[in-house]
Amino acid sequence: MIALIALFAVMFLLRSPLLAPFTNAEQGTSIALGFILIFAFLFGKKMKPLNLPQITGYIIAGILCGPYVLRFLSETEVKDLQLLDGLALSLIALTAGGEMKFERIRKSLKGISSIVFFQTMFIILGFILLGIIVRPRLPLLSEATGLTVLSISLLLGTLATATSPSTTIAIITETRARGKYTDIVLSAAVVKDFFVIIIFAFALSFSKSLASTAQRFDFRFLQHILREIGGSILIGALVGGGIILYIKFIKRDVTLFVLSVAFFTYQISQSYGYHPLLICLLAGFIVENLSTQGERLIQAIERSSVPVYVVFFAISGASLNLEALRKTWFLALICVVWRGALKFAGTYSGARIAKEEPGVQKYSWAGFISQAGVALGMAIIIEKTFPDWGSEFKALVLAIIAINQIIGPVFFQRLLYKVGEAGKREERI
Amino acid sequence: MGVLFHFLTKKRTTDEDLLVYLLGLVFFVSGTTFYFNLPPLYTCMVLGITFSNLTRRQEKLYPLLLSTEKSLYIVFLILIGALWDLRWDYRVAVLVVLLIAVRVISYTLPLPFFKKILGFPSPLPAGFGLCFLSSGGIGIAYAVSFKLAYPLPMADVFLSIALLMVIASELISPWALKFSLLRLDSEEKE
Repeated sequence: MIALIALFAVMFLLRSPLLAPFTNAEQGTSIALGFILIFAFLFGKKMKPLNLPQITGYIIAGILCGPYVLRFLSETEVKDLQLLDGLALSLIALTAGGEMKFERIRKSLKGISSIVFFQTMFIILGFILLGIIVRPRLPLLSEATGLTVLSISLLLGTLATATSPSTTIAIITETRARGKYTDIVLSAAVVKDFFVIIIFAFALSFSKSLASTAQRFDFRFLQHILREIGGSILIGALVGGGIILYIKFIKRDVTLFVLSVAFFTYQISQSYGYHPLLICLLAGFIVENLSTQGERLIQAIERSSVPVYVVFFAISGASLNLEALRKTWFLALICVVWRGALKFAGTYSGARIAKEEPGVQKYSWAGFISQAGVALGMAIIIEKTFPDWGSEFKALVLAIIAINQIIGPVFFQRLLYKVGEAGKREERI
Repeated sequence: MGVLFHFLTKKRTTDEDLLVYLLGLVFFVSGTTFYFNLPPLYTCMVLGITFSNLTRRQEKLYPLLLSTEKSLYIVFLILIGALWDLRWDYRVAVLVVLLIAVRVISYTLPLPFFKKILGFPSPLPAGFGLCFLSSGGIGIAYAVSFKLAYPLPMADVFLSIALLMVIASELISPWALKFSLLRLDSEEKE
């Protein structure tokens, strides 16, 4: 605690106006990185006695130090540090793929697909219904035409379907969980993320054609999606094959190699319009299931991933728009509660139809609450595509993500402890 | 900060904790010095000296530092490549050649004089000073630190000269080292 206070005091002094004449504010990114790394890490450790996940601590530390509360990190510094997002997301996806043993997942395949289907259907239909019910009371919807209300509700529903696989994986890694619930939640979160991207492309094209009478529903985007997904699968297979060959034959500096692959795969694939998460997930899956090098891949990632994850989650906290949350908190809260209820209904129905055990039916919904990057990325696309109502929509989505990203990790951690899967994974040496 | 680092690592810490503290403090300290428009090398060195003289866990920290250094060093070199604004000017080339010549001369010529004054117990070959030609990472670090602390147009020329000198020294130094050691060997045989 003393170290935390000392660091806080030093940063407070550094950012105080007293020292401003002697400093160069443009050179603040390195301080911000060093500070947030240690501060969030120490803050995360303080969450353990409260039975909260460390990730929640990292996110709260980010919110506290970010541009909306204490302003230790400026908006520019937060944007600079988001350069690490790509590396963190790739490592997270590689770990997710590396943890997905096909033999294990095969047993729950029916349950996973059923949960994904029912959750998606319940949430999208549920949000269309919510849009119709709250329309008269909302400035965003009350002045809009019926078709615009349908577009907004459809897109909001699609975004609400998304879960954050990165948070899911981070909680599994932190609690060292292993078992049926862990597999179902992880696999469903990853698979759902994949389908959400496709559904979003449909919903966006549909909404665009509704918004303009000149535009007709454009089926060419299907070809575009197929090219993106096909290309991503091919690149993922190549990256996975490359990692296998490197670990098997070269063996040296595996951590460094994996870090470089993760970073460049993200940057390059995103520049060419492919899906970096899908690529890295598939690469990890191939290494785990088609070779004997899966364990070494995970070891190499775990050796260096902690600082990257700490910065990633702290920065995701710092970038949460609290101003948007302040303006739309009530509606956001309604959406969060409604989403939670629909997640429960969808998961319960899906698991029940797939004849999963009662525990899975009742509790596994708690693993699907957190939201982050994918939903945020989609909100930005919507803002650009629909200038009339896009910015209001984005503010609402940001507020929903802010709430879900704070409560989601807590729900999932509690689930893993409740079902007794936390701590079941052996320590890797 | 060195004291804070010692304080943080005083309790039982895992390798992961150490790595986070180490990276965090290095970024924080170097960032703070840049923030005050100062070069960070000296401050980070003081951080290292303070910590290593306070801690009893050097044996755990040092391997970690070495394993981390490699990744960071590669990133550092890539960033330097991105920072390097190389505009070809024959005067830069001439200056680099001249400076290397000065380095070679200053490492080799005064040697007989110092040998005489200090009275070395074993004979040293005339070209022994060539063993010290390599300047490597620290030379680059000085140059980059100068460029970042003083972002003047002159700093670009300085960085270009320093990088070209380091590259040239690194190319010459293995040959010079071999030459010098072979000479030592042949003189000992004589």
